[in-house]
Parts: sequence; C-alpha cells; structure tokens
Amino acid sequence: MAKRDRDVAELLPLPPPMFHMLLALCQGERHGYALKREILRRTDGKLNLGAGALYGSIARMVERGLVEESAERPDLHLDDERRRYYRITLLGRRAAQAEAQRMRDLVQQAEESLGLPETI
Amino acid sequence: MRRLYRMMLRIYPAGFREEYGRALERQFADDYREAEGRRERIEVGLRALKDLAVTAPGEIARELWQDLRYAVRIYRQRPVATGLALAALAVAIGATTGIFSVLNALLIRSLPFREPDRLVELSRFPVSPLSGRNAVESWFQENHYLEEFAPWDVMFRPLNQYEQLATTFVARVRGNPEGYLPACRDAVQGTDPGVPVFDVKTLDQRLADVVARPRFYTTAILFLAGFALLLAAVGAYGAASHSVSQRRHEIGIRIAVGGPPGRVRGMVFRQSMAPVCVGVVAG
Repeated sequence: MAKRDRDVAELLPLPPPMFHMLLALCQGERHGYALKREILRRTDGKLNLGAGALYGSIARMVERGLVEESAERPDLHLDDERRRYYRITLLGRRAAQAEAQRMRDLVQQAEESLGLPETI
Repeated sequence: MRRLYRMMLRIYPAGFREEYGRALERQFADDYREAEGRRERIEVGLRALKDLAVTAPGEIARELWQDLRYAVRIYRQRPVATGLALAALAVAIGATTGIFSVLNALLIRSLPFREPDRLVELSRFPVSPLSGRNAVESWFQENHYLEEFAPWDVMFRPLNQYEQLATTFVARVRGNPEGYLPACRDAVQGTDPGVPVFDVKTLDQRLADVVARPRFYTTAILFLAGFALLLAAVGAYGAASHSVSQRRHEIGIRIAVGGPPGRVRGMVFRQSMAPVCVGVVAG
C-alpha cells in the first residue's frame, strides 16, 4: 500500500460531523457558521452542531491536514472580515472519497445480508 | 448573554480558546440572534451549555495529552536525570503511602468497638472464672456507673469449661473512664479482699502501651519517608528547572509573540507533572 493510501486509511472511519464538513467544503470555501448551516440543510436539521463541536472538529481537521484556513476572501460585499474561511485539502478530498467508498461497501454488505427495500 | 457565554468559554483550554474563542462566541451570537421568541433563546442557551459540557473535557484532555507527549520527548533526551527523579519519586510516594497505612491502622483509626474511649480494662484478678464471673456480675448490678462488661482474653474459649488463675474483664463505664479506675479496682476487690487486682487501665492507655514500640519505629520511618519525599521534591524541581533553563529561548519567543504568561506557566507546570504522574503510578 502506498504511503498516501496508508495516510488516508489511518483517518477512517471519519466521524459524521467531519465527513459532512468535508462534503460541504468540496463545493467551495466556507466559514464555520456557513458550514453549520450547510450541514443542517444536508441532514434536514438532524445534525445541529454546537459551536464547541463544530470548531473542535475543525481544529482536528486542521491538525490532520484535511482542511486549511484560507487567506483568500470572497467578493468584498459578501465577505465578513471577522470570519475565518476554510478550504478542503487534497488529503481531505481523498479521505472523504475513501470514507464514501467505505460506506458504499458497508451498504453493499447490508444489502446482501438484509435485502434493503427500494425506499424506506 | 454573550458576555455570560464568553465567561463560560474559559472552561476550554487556553490554546483552543485563543484559536477559536472569537469564532465560538460569534456562532453563539448568530444562533441567539436568529432565535425567535424567549423559548427559542432559552433553547439556544441550553444547547450551548450542553455543547460546552460535552466538548470541553475532550479539548482539555487533548491539550493535556499534547503537553504530556511533549514532556516525554523532552525527558527522553535526558534519561539518567529523568530516571533518577522518577526513582526518587516512586520510592518516596511508595514509602509515604506505606507509612500512612501503618499510621492509620495504629494511631488514627480507633478500636473496633462502640465508643472505645469509654472502655476500662481490669486485668488478671485470680478468681475461678465461674465464681469470679458471678461475683463481678453482682458487682456490675450494684454499680450504676458501669454500662456493660465482658470477660476478655487473648484466646477465646468458653470460660465455664476452663479453670484458670487470672481473668481479665473489660467494662464500659458511664462517663470518663479514668475517673472510675479506683472505683473499679475497689469494687472488684470488694468481692474478695484476698484477690490482687492490678493493671487497671483504660483501654486507650493499654493501647498506648501496646503501640509504643511500633509508634517509635513508625515515627522513625516517617522521618525517613519525609526525607525521601524531600529528595524527590528536589529531584522533580531539578528536572523541571533544567528543562525550563534549556527552553528559555523557546519560552522567550512564545512570550514575545504574545503568549500569555499564565499559559506558559500552565504549560511548564503540566509538563513538569509528567514525571510526577509516572512516579505516582510506580510508587
């Protein structure tokens, strides 16, 4: 196994808040509060991260090199200087892909064992 | 409300607070502003409280763990000095714990009887156990200051089956036992003037006689353990002081770039506690 794959494998499984944040960041840079709103939207309000959980996860992702703080700002009229923006790194993208693959395998196993219905 | 939340954020370790404190505060303010009505605002407050309670311990543990790992790296660079400090700490803490157990058993914990400070021992008056017991029983009935009594011996056996020359009685008196010692002696002698009654003492006095020698040894060992603890403290201080003097440059830079002195003090303290923790476990 290449070193790059080993690095990614060590990060799995990703905690759900981290996975959701990485997915949200795949679509562009966001600040913390925007990430929270995006996750709320993606999960139909089921995953409502508190400030501590949100920035705790961001701190872990920055430590592991999954995301980084962005120096660039969006258009001036959209920007709020006091906010800090984050963007996904290459490692973060690979980790999110690997996590998605892991979940797909898991779903496949579940389908074979349980025979999942078309819709629940 | 925001001020209250800012105060609560002090639960988080300094590193996390410095990095994300403003963002946390801002998110709370956004949530609070978006809440409609009093009920929703209360919900936002409660959610923030729960979030703090759930996430703060993890952040504290993480910072502590980082400091410990760093301390281990630093101490591994000086294995001999660290080994000596650890050994001194382990010996001192082990010795202190051992001594405390002995002290506790011998001196601090009281006798395993109800109100042991009210017990008096009357020793070895040579009467036949049966008649002696009857005599003492009648003496007990006559003297209202005795609450209860029991024959006492180091070997437990039925007194009715064994003749013996001396019997020891223990009586519980109503009030201060020392004041009743002469009365107890006189009362027992009153049942048979020919019987020598001696060694009448309170149980506390008897216990003091019994533990005099162990107490002496214990005190001696206590001094030794105290000395070992002092040595360990000097060793730990030496290791911490050496580590700080080696890192003077780094600490200077930290303060120069705006690291609060309290945080630097906390970091040095936590890192110095690493060998103490190992010493405590080993001890």
